[in-house]
Amino acid sequence: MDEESFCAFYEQTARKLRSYLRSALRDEVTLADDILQESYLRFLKADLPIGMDELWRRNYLYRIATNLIRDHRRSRHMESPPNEREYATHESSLDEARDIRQVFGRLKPKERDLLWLAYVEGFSHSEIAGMVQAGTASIRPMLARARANFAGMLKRRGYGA
Amino acid sequence: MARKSGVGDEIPRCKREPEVVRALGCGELSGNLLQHAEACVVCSEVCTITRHLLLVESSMEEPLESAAGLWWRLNLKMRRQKMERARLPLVWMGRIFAATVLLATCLALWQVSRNTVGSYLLVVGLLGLVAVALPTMIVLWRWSRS
Repeated sequence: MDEESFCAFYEQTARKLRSYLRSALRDEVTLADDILQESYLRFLKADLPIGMDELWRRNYLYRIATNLIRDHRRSRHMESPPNEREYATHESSLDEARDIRQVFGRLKPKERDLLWLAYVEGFSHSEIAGMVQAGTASIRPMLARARANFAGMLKRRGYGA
Repeated sequence: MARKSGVGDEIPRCKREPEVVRALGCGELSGNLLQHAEACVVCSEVCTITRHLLLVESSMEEPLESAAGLWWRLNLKMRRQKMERARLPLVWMGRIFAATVLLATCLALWQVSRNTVGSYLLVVGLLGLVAVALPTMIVLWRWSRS
């Protein structure tokens, strides 16, 4: 990949990828930036054939990033959601986006990944399956459960519709 | 409209869900799709969640590092990693060489102490080995560090 095509690809994907990383890593900005850089490094090292479909490249990049997130979670054991007390301290927050971020952060890491990849990035179930290393058929029920959980949390928080 | 996906499967599904997600990603729902989303259990839930997640996403907007800067840094990193990989056999070669010399020296000293060969020839051989091995080890070590 030459500099010009890398720059174009980066401009297209980096902003969204960083949002995904931040959502997956509960807003650890420095870590998200490190993983962002590592994702592009691995992407470059993969030396994908020139003329490859843009969507496929994006898909590949997200797959790398998701693997890095998983590795990080394994090493840091950050699978457990924050406790109720932490949740309660943000109850009076006026910043809606920040508040929703707090609620979103209470979901299980895999649920966060699934919801973000499906509804923000718009990946298909088969693409998500490749990223989270699960069967395509299992994505729909997992996604439905995650959706129901998040919708329930939002409702309890007063963000019903 | 939302329906159960099969016998024993309690998860409702809607065929228009991908269409709704795509439309929300591009902006807002309109006409037929909006009516559908209001009536469908799955799609209304999808709408709620997608809107909230997009709000979260928009709140995360921060300036990014420049593409050219990152390209330069990643290339530098890749070059360093390549050099590290190329140097690795050299480092191991040096270690093996050092271990061999150490072993040979120990063996020779052991022989001298037993006086089995105990001779002028062995001492000369040992000195010769050290004279060759020591500079070679230093050169290899310095090369691998440069």
